[in-house]
Parts: sequence; structure tokens; C-alpha cells
Amino acid sequence: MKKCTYLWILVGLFSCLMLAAAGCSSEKKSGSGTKEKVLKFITVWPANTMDPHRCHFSFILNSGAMETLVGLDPKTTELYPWLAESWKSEDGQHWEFKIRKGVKFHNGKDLTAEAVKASLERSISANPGVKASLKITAIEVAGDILKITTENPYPALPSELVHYNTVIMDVAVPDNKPPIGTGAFMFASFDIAKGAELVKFPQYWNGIAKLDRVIMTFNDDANARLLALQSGDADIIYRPALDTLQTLRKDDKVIVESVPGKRVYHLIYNYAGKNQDLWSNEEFRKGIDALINRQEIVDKVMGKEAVVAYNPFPGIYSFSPDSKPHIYSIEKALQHFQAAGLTVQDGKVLRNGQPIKLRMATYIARPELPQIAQIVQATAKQVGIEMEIQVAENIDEYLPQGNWDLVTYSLLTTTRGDGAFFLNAAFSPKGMQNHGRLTVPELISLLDTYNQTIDKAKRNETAKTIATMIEERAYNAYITSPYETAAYRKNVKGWVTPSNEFEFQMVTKDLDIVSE
Amino acid sequence: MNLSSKWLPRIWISFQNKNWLLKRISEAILLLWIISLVSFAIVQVAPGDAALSLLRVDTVAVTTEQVEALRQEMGMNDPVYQKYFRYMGNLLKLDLGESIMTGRPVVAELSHAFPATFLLAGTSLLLTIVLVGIFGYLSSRFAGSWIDKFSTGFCLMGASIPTFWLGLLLIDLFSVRLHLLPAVGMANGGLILPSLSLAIAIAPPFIKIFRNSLIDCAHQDFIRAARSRGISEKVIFMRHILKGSLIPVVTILGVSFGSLLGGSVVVEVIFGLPGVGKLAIEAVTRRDYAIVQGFVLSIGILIFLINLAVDLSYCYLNPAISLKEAERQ
Repeated sequence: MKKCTYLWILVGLFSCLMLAAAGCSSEKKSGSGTKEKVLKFITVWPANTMDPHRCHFSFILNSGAMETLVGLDPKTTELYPWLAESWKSEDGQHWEFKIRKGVKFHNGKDLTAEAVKASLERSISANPGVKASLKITAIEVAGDILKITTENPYPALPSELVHYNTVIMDVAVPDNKPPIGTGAFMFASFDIAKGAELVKFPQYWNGIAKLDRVIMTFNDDANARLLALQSGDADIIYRPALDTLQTLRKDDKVIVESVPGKRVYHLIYNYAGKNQDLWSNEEFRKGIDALINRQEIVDKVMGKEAVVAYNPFPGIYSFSPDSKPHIYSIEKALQHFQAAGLTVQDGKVLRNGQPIKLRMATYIARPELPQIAQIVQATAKQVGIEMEIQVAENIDEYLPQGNWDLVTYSLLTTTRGDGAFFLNAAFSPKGMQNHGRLTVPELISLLDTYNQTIDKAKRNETAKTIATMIEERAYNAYITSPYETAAYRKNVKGWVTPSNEFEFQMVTKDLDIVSE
Repeated sequence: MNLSSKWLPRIWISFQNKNWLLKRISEAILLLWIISLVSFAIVQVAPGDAALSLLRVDTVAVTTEQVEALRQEMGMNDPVYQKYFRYMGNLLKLDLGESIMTGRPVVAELSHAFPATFLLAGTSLLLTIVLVGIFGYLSSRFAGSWIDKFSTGFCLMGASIPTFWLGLLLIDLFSVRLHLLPAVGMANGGLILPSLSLAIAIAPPFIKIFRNSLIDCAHQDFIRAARSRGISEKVIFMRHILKGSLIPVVTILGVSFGSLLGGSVVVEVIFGLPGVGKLAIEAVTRRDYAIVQGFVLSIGILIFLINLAVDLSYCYLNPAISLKEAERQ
């Protein structure tokens, strides 16, 4: 009886394992033998819908199946003609986009100006964000020219057409089917919960892809992505965890690539809170700025996977200010506080004989931000300024309550090759990202000029002037810009690590995989 | 008389009994109302703003006025009671609404994600039963021996290791080092590791319960009587000891299946499995409250159905329970 029982137990265990193994296998195996080039790519976020105009994440653009009218070069971050061969506008309000000829949708239909019009109109009607972003009042077609009229002069329009929700699709495709685009790859299967299988599109207008097939999945757990790369379940992973980069760099089968990102971690000051008198004082702001040890933050918090930032547009963009390093110095900070009319006694700052108490908000969605808050808090304490850290569960809901003095925040600044998003969102009086309700007439006037300037060089010059003013007057404190990182196996060729996930294809026709 | 052979007719009799059926239906209606209330309340107190997500405020320059206008359009500024009546009205029409983010019906989104969760929960439960069977039986059979102590150690370890860590350890061993199983996804045996992670985490309490239950049952008078009548040990074990010991295990396993359906989020995330837990987490992140409501409601209903199935299983496992029920009626 004993033997029999053990046997039954073993049979049970085996059956369960077999059931688990067999019951769920749905991935198609390659039928064409060994020469098929298949690449497995794991990104961070899923496509929460197959509708490219509503998809909350950029999975569909990243997949290489869809294209926009205007592209953004990942290396130069300059706009380039994509499905639109060229564009022009005399007044910034009436635009003409010439639609590229010889482009086919994955279902064989030709790309026409009519098809682009239908796609853009669908995008505007389905997505309030796109509607707000494009500000289009009318679209007309004249041959292969798409005529677009905006609500008012809007020089940022070509840049806004880079947005991942404005990809051009064949609108005749039913909602429950994978979208039909014009990219180098087309969807062979697409399950928003699992990922997508893409195959090369033999009629792609810009040259046939080197890969035959791409399995693109997602996983927002950085450790799981790392393990998938190490186990061979992935050839490329996007954004490995910061603390795993050293380990990955030691792996001789893997290449880790970091590029400057477009996100900037910064401090926003509250100009409408109970300590608005302090923040309205430029010398006080400069004193706080001198208390920020940016290099320590980059080294210790960011693990050296970031650059120091002094303004919203760090780097070598044509609209980046010519910054000089901001010196971290307690002594200099005290001088600024004194110049601000505050008392400095025994190295401590007093206002009306009392220590200054501030509330600093932060949030954990970006784990580095609370750590940055702690470093700033510790330095401020050295000069007697007490900063109480408040970790908000939902920062965008917390900030409008106004009960804070400064906040660690993160935002994309050089978006879609242009500073328009950041400058308008963060510095126009009613901008949704102007959390500190900063209102400076001179800045608003410059912003108005910027928003109406069509000439690119002049436009960049104005953006630079605005950013320089923001830096020099220390309206907010810009601290660091984290790198964007990808890790891939050495047999992967042609991969370009993008500076963010929102604006670029990641699977491209140039991607290739060679024998190890 | 072999009472257990008539378990199906007994269940049927239970269904035919009007009082029993009415009681069950009224319980179900009350429970559904409570669940709907809870799911509505969760969404009302949850932080966040779907309008911000819809307007892509992280990448699109919008003004506070545009956000407010969209909130108004979406009815987000309506009084709570209006929202509740609207919600209940739709619910009575079996309309769970549409996902704000995708524009698809909530039912479609959930039905797309549930199969993966069912599969994961089902295989985890099966593995749990196997682990409980093996360890429970062996530790009761060899109570006090090293096997029993090993089983206790396994239980302690299984209960102490966080599921996400266990999952990562299993991936490291079976995927990275041994290249036996995939690290992510469900294809090619991809369900084994997540199921194992969950099974190891939830099995320990059942093993202890099953072990103690087996030992207790083996010392009951009717077992001694059966032995004295010369019934074989195999029959005694299979028909009396095992069946008698299963009631507490089945009760808690039933409850566990419910929590497995909604609670395997961490495992779904680590192994990249497209289940409802993951869907719900993403919905919370994106303030897609229609999905959150649908998730809470559907999990509540499932747990109710599971509890019902557990109650009915008693008719099979312990005829005395159904007989007492019948006497009470």
C-alpha cells in the first residue's frame, strides 16, 4: 500500500507540472527553419489598447509598425520628414504638409492625403490630449497636400505631430483588430495583455527590414526584465534598473548603452503658498540653489547614471542656455540669505528671529526623488532651515491643495525636439504643470513671443532666452537629468537607445541579429 | 450504507428545497449589493484624476481650464449620489461601462484578462493540493520523525519567503542558470514557475491543517471500530480518514482560490502574465475607475460562487452536514 501511495503522489505531481506546461502554450514556433531572424525585445509599458490613437503608452509607435507625419531623429533630436515629405507655413496658422508618395499600408492600400486626414481626424476625436495638443480647426486635402488650419498661429505644430498618438493608420480597420500602419514591420498578432509579434513588411517604402520577426513584450518589473535578458528570453531590454547596471556591464555577452535623457529632476517652489514672500525673493531662491549639492545627488542617488542640470534644457540643444556651474557652497548660500534680508546668526538663518520651516513634498513614483529631497533637507538643516518632507501618494492631486513650499518633481523638458511643451505647461499662468503658480509678466511676454515665432533659429533663440532667465533668476532649481538606458546582447546590431520612450520607434528596419 | 455515493442527489435535494434556495438567492442579492457599494466607494475615495491621464499632461501642454472642462464633461464633478445612481442604473442593465483609457467595454477588458488568471490560479491550486497531499500525508504518517520535521521546515520557509522574491529566485535558477523554463510569458511551460511560486507560498497552512486533521481523524472511535471489523487499511484511509480530513482543507482552499484570483498581482507582474490583477493595477495607476469597479465586482461575485461550491462540496465530503441541514429544514 505504501508503494502504491507514493506512486499516486508522484503521478499527481507530474500531471500537475505537465498540465501547467502544456495547458498554456500559445506561442507559434517558427516553421521556416533556422535562418529566420527573430529578435525578442522587452520594453517597460504595455499597449493598454490596440487603438494607436488612444493607447496610453508608446508601445505601438515603438513597435516599428506605425509612423507619424513628422519624425524625430534619436541621435540629433531634430525633426525630419517622415510620412510627410515636407511642410511649410507662412503665418504659422495655415500649414501645408506634402504627403509622401509610394507609401503603402500593411493591407496594400496606398497612403494618400485623404487617408492621413481621416487618421488625424480620428485621433483628434478619440483623444482629448491630441485635440489639445494639435489645436487643429480644419483639415483639407488638395491632391497630395494636406492643408491644416490651427486655432491660432502655432509654430509648434510639426513638433506636436511627433506625438505617439498621432501615428497614421488605416481607419477602416475594425477596433478589435491590430492597427494597420505603414511601418517596416506589421502586426502578425497583437494581444495587449501579452505583447505583439511583428513580421517584416515586404513593401515598406524605406527599405526592407533586416529582421524577419520581432517578439515584443513588456514587463514593468526591472528585475524580471534583467533576468529575461540573462536567460536569453530577451535580446534587448529597455531601461534596466539603475542598481543592476554595474552587474550587467560585467557580462561579456551584453552591451549596456546609456544616453542623455530628456527628463529633468527639479525643485518647484510654491509662489502662492504661505511662504510666498520667501520664494518671491530672488536672493532667497539663489540661497536655496546654493544649498543643492548636485554632484552628490548625481553620484550617490543617481549612481552616476545622470548629468548635473542647472536649467530645464541641459545638454547641447540649440535652445540650451550657456550655463556656468552652480557652486554648492554653504557660505555662498548664507550670503544670499543675508542679501534676501534674513538674519544670519551663528551660521543659522532666521526670519524675524525665528528659524525658517518649510514643507517639501515628494513622491515615490520616481524613487530617486525622495532621496533627493533628503539630501536637500540635510543641507538646509546645516543653515538652520527646517524642511519637513511630505511624501504624497498622488503628487498631482496633492500639489493643487497648496499646503507645500517646494516639491521635487520630474518632467520631460525637451519634448519632441522642442521646448514648447515644457515652457507652456510649466510657465504659462494657467499651465497644468505650473504647480507653484509662478506668474512673471516678463516671462509670459517672452513665452507669447516664442509661441508666435515661426522661424526656427529665432524660436530656439527665444527658448534659450527664457531658459536662461529661469536659470539666472532661479525660478525653480534644476538638479539632474537621468540617462536613458538599454541593455542588449552583443549579437544585436543596429539598436539605437532613445532618449525617451515617447517619441521614437525602437524596433526599426536597421535592427539585426547575427550569430553569436 | 454508503452515504457518500448519494451526494449528487443530496445536492439536488438541496436545490429543490425552496427555503434553502430562497435563502441563498436573498443572500446573493444582498452580497451583490454590498459588493457593488464597496466597488463604488473604493473608486470614490481613490486618489487620482482620469482627466489628467486622458489629456496626457506629462507630454501635452494643457491648461487648468482644459482639465476642468474635461472633468465636467466626464461627470467627475457631479455629486456623489448622482454618480451612485448612474452607476447602479447601469449595473442593473448589466452595463459595467467603458474603460476610459481604451474606450472598450469593461466586460471585454475583463474577459480578455480573466483566462490567464484562471489558468494561473487553477494550476497554482492544483500544485498546492499536490504539495498539501504529499507533505500533509507524509508528516502525519511519520509524525515526530525527521520527515515531519522537514515538512515543518518547508512550511516555515514557504510562509516566510515573500512571493516576489521566491519568483525571482526560481527564475534565476530555472531560467538563467539551467535554461529549462522561460522567465516571462505563458508559452512553453511559462506557467510552471509562477504557479510554483504561488503554491509554495500558500500551501504551508494547509499542510499543517491537513496533517493535524489526518492525525485527529485516525484516532476517532469509528476508525477503531472499522479496523476491528477487519476493513482494510486502504479502504479506511481512502473512505473515512481522508474524506473526514478534507473538510477544513477544502474550506480554506476555496477561500484561497478566491484570493488567488485577485491576489496574484505580484506574480503576474514578475512573470509578465496578462491577468486581471495586472489589469487592475494598471487601471488604478491610470485612474481607469470603470475597470477597477468591474474588477472588484467580478472578484466579489466569483468569491461568492466559490463559497457556494465549497458549501455544496460538504454534501459529498461529510454527509452528516447535509443530513443535519435536512433535519433543520
